Amino acid sequence: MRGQTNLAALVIAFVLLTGATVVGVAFADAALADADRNPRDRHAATAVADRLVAADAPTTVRANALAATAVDDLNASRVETLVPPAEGAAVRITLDGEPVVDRGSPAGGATVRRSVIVVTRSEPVRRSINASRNATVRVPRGVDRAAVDVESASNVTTVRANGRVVLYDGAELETNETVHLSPYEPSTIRTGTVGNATGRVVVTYRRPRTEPRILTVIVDA
Amino acid sequence: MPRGQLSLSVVEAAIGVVLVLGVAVGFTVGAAGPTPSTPQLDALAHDTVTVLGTEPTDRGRDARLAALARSNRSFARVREPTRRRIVALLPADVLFRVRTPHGEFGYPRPPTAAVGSATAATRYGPVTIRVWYG
Repeated sequence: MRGQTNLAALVIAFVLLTGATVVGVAFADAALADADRNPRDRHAATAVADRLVAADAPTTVRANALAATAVDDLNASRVETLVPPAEGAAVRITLDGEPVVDRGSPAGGATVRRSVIVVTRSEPVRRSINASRNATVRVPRGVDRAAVDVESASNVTTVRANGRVVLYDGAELETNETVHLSPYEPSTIRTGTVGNATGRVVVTYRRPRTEPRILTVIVDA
Repeated sequence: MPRGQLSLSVVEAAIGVVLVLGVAVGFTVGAAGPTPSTPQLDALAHDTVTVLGTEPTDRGRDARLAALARSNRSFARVREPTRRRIVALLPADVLFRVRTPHGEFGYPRPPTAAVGSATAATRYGPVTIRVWYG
């Protein structure tokens, strides 16, 4: 009698223990599935995205602002030169869904999304200053650099942007230089002269246009 | 069981179940850690702060972030354009909330979701952007 009772208890015990083991393994499997199983893919994708939007990258004009021309020139081998971890991996880079770089076909892998703006520059706008009349040129807000050509003017010694001296030669300026302007306000470009100045100073700038985009990088090593 | 005693096997089984479940709970708690979405959210918040911090406003002499932090009037003026800009910048499935010295705007923050955040110091005070999957 006693022996049979123990047998029933043993069966119940086995059922309970097996059930608990199944539940435990299911938990463990779910936890492992949640964990990052391909850290190399994630690392490579993060590195590619970080490098593409860095302030000193050849693809950007400043941090998170991609130059449209540089993006058009981008291809898989340039990405590899820029970001060694992407070497040999299947890479897909898109801007708002439009493919920029597509090498191999990443099936799965890691995806990184970044917010960027793409800067397109307009056709060059040319404005000239009559050096003899002390005229000014107004450059609109948002323009961060302009080319100032003083070669066809004589007796011009100084070029100022909003009162700040950007070009100076005590004798006479004979140059065609790119000067940096503050993009946060409109700039007024004015010339300073000695004696009778003649000729024209030509200021050329490109007006930037920015568009927000989502940069998506998928890497499958 | 004439003596009203629990069978030894059942006691052993109960101890075994507790042991196995303990290991399972250890897996779930120990392996959870930081979810992989948080670095992604931090990156998006950081991107938003960077873009807003280098972008001129339509009027005035500041970047958008500085204009938000400068004064109550400035905040009221640039809040709506900045909100639209952030909506355009972030992916459609990501929501945000911005905190400045002069007030907050954006979506109400959920109590439980994983949140990425980035803070920029402007010369008028800190501006914090929090983002999460909505």
